[in-house]
Amino acid sequence: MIEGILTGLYTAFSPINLMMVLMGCFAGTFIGMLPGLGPVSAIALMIPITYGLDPASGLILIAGVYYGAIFGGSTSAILINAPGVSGAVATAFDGYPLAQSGQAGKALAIAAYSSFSGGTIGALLLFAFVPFLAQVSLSFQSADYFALMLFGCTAIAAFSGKGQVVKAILMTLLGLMLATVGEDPSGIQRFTFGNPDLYDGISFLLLSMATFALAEALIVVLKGTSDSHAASAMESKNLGSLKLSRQEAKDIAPTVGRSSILGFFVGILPGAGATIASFLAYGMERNLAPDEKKGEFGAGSHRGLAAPETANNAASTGSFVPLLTLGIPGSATTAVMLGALLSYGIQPGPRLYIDNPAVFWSVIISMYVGNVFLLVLNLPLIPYISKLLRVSRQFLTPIILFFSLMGVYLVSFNTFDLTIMVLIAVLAVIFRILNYPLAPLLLGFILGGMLEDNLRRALLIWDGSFTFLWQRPITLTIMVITLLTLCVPLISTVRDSRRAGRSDSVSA
Amino acid sequence: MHLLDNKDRIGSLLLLVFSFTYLQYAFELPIDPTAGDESFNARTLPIGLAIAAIAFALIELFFSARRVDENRISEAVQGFSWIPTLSLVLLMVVYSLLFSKLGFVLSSYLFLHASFLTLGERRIFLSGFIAASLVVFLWLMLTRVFGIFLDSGDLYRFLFGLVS
Repeated sequence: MIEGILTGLYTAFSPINLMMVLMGCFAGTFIGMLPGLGPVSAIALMIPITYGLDPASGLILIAGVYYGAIFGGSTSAILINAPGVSGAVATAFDGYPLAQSGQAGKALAIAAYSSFSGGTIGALLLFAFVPFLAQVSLSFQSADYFALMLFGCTAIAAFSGKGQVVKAILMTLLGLMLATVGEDPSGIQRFTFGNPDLYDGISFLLLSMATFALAEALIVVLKGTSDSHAASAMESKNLGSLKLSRQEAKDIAPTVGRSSILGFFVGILPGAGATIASFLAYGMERNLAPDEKKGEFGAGSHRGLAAPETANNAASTGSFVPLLTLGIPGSATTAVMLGALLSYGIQPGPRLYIDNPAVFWSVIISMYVGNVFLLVLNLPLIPYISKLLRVSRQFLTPIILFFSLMGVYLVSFNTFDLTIMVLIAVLAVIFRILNYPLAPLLLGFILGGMLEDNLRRALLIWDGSFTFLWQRPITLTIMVITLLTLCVPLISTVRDSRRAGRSDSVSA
Repeated sequence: MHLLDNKDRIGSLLLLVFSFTYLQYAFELPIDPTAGDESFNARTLPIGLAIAAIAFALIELFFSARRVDENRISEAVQGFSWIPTLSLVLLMVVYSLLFSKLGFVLSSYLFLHASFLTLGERRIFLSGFIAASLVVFLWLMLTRVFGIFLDSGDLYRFLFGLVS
């Protein structure tokens, strides 16, 4: 392990990789600040660039973009009350009132210090947990992996919010169905309709670019969001001092500690992610606050700002645990990262820790380096980066569309992919209008191939019998957790629906 | 029409139709003749997925029937800018179709310039300059710095009789 850490340190601190973190943080901050474009879109836009790099550098760049985008999302939430990412919604509750009262600089500083602390504690916990979990998961067999893939698919659906469970399951299934397009392991062409361009299936990059980058840009145009408000808000805002007093730092310290731990463990749960973590941390802090401080929440409370900011960063770090130890993405962002790893020919999971220690440890160390860069470099640069938001959307949106299209073309050099991409983007926009979540679609698509492979292998080992689902204790445990994760929200959906039906009939 | 003015219902109907079509094609998938009577073949997962999707789409349809007046599409799409959005979609399709004919530089320039104008930019020379600069910069970076081949297009080959 020590040797692996040293290899990781050597890789992470090489000049090229330090530059990658810096570039990633900077690009991520800018993209994350644009309302509508979150970390998934930011990473999707960066993936084509990473294809020219070695896997460690590529992943380091992606990790930098990830953290930068989260930081950027918080910045726009504080400055213009437009969270760039859903994980920053709770940040706006107290960040924006602080900015309105002339303390934008202080709010940004609290957000940056909290994010840094959350990321640091998260990285330390990751350091401690990942090797242990990786060792445990080395004993897993195909049957257990199949059960884990099912758990990954259902967990993201279960955490998708009230009234969204069935929709999320449907989108996961749609993703799994799209993953079956192309040649199956036995060489049979499935759903290709004789078109050679589909023999290799739909590429993950195409799907992620179409459903996130392209669809998000089209949604922005469709909703006709004016950029003049953002630009003028940005122009008129006097950031004020970026410094925190000793008392203020002391006041938020316990909040930061509590929210880091809560955020990390919520982040580990597949599907839970930064959004749930930030809301939980905000709620926890409001409940724990003394009565005289409770009234400050929602009106510019320092603790109210520190809690979600710490938790969302710690959760982002925590979401790497299932990816790095089990090869299962815990969020849409880590799903995109999983796709990137697979395209490098690297199979994430317990073997990654043994087979590719340089990649494994350098990514973990780079996450921490990314946090340091964000604090040291990005915070003072925020006033200048925010000026980039004044670029007119009439120019920005077509450029985003162009880069998305080029990103996919430069990997496949096939214009048919561009047509398919536009078609998928249009469908993604329709699903967005209909309130169907797209993250489960991507997760299902990425897990689809692995799920089928593991099921096939498990059935071969078990002589075509599905008894492996309950005869292996590990598989049975995971299946029980999966069923519980699926059934509990489904039952509550049925109960809510009945209640709504009853109240309708009463009011009629 | 009122029955279909609901996001959940339309979504589940779309997915139901898709799943039935997918199931029909799944049943028509060939099976590896060497596989014999193996329990797992090319059809197994697709059929399972389609059946699960049909079941969940029906559940969603059932729930949406109880939520009569919620989530109206007609309300959700009010004020949407359809014309610029559809124009951009059309431009992207045209771009993908013209790419191999006009080549990277010309098709990209036309796509960008037309998109700027579609989104309401009225400074034709400025938008043309930005589009041209971006495309030329990218072309230079990709071909000269990274050594990536970019299709120069049928038109270029026709006019200059060259193969790039």
